[in-house]
Amino acid sequence: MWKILIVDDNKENNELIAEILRDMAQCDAVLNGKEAIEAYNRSLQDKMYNLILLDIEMSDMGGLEVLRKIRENEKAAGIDLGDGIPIVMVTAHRKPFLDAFYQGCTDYIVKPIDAGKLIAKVEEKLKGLH
Amino acid sequence: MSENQNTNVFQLDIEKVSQELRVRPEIFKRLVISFSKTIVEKMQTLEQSLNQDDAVKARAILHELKGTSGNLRVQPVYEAVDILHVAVKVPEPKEKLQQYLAALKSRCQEFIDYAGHLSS
Repeated sequence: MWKILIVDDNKENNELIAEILRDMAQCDAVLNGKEAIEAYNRSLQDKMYNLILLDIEMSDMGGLEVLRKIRENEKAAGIDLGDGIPIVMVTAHRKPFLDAFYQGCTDYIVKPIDAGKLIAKVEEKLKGLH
Repeated sequence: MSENQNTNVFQLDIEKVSQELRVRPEIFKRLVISFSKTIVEKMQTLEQSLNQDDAVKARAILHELKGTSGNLRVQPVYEAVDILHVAVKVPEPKEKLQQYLAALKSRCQEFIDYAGHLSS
């Protein structure tokens, strides 16, 4: 089963997404950017996670900063941008997505979450790993 | 009394929304109740932020409320949050913001009452 890291500072949103994806992936959820970077760094060597769903607007550290730090850490570990973990930004706005695109995100989904679109998007990204 | 037969004006069709979101109804119901329990504190912080003209904090709280109410399809709260969110961004005059805040508080209270029936 695929393994996904969900990053959103709202518990209910994290649980909802994990529930929607329950048949296709095992999901871990963290509530802030710092925990997200720590969780990803811990799993960097064994590539524990197959995908990250990352909320753009979080209170402590924004999703764009988390994205930038993860890509920097991957670069330091010798991982090329194209080989990095797929990161799908979760956003209510298109403008931050454009910024995220330039910082190396893979794709985005728009809130409020549409379950069909979320499943299709995640499936598309995970299948692209093979 | 079933969960859709209480006298509150707010109603959420748990079965229908669960199907739409492809989640188990019992999980969805738990998330709705959980969200309702976070609202009072968030609304207090929101009101304080608006009274102190702290637009940054107000917008952050509104963004969070909007995201969760939207995801959980709590439509009346979502719409009232959206109106206030836009008004804070503009920004509209303080009296208007207070008017929108009062409307949001009413929608939130209706939702909290409804969720209270769900959990009882």
